[in-house]
Amino acid sequence: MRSVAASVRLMDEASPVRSVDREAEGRRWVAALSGHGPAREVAAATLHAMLLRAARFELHRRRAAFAGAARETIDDLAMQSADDALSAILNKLDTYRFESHFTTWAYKFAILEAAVRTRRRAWERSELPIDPQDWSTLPARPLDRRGRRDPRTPHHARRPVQDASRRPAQATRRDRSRR
Amino acid sequence: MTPSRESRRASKQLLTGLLGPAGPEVTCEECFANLDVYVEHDLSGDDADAFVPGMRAHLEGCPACAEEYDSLRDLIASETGGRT
Repeated sequence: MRSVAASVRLMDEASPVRSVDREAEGRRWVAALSGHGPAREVAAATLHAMLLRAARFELHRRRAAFAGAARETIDDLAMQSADDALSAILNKLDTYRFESHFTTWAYKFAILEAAVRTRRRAWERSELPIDPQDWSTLPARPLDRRGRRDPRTPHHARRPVQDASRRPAQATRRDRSRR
Repeated sequence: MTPSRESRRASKQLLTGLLGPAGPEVTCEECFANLDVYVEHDLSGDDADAFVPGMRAHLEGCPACAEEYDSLRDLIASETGGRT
């Protein structure tokens, strides 16, 4: 079993000065995270701290989506992103192919989680671009018995409720399919 | 009536978007799976698209993936000073 001290060294080796031996670095991470006991806990805690930093980096880049949000809210989103990223990484360790630095591979999960939360927040807080008077023009029975739209429905009432260009739902579907 | 230059340009952009790239393009899932490799080759000054064919075309057409690529690239660059 890898000692705690050896696992702590992972933190040093994952510092901004990158390991020359990419594969060796990756194998150390995979071995530590695949193990058991205190060594695994130390490695997971080290990785979590790195993922939290990556999540904060991503949320900061997208700070326009958090205008007016409390600092605690953003911190909480960063923590959730790091938690879910760590969980995804532990579940997908066998998909890491040592073709990049382990930390680069791991960071993308934190960035994805933070991005998903940002898009979800933007979606939840987006306004429906429909005028109040438009509601009164919506047909009571827009579809016929076969599920076809009533041809008598006024054209302006047939438009989608939400402007697709303002809706990040496409990305959200993609996010779900990737996780 | 002859369409204006702006109108022709907008039509061309729309058509290009509808038709997609002429070459291969990865999916969003493939993009995410290869994002780390692509970013490191890119930061190393390699022809990253040679290592992940179709990635560049996808990033040009998918804003969500392009944002994640930009973020990962900037994060790694900030840690390494642009070297990998």
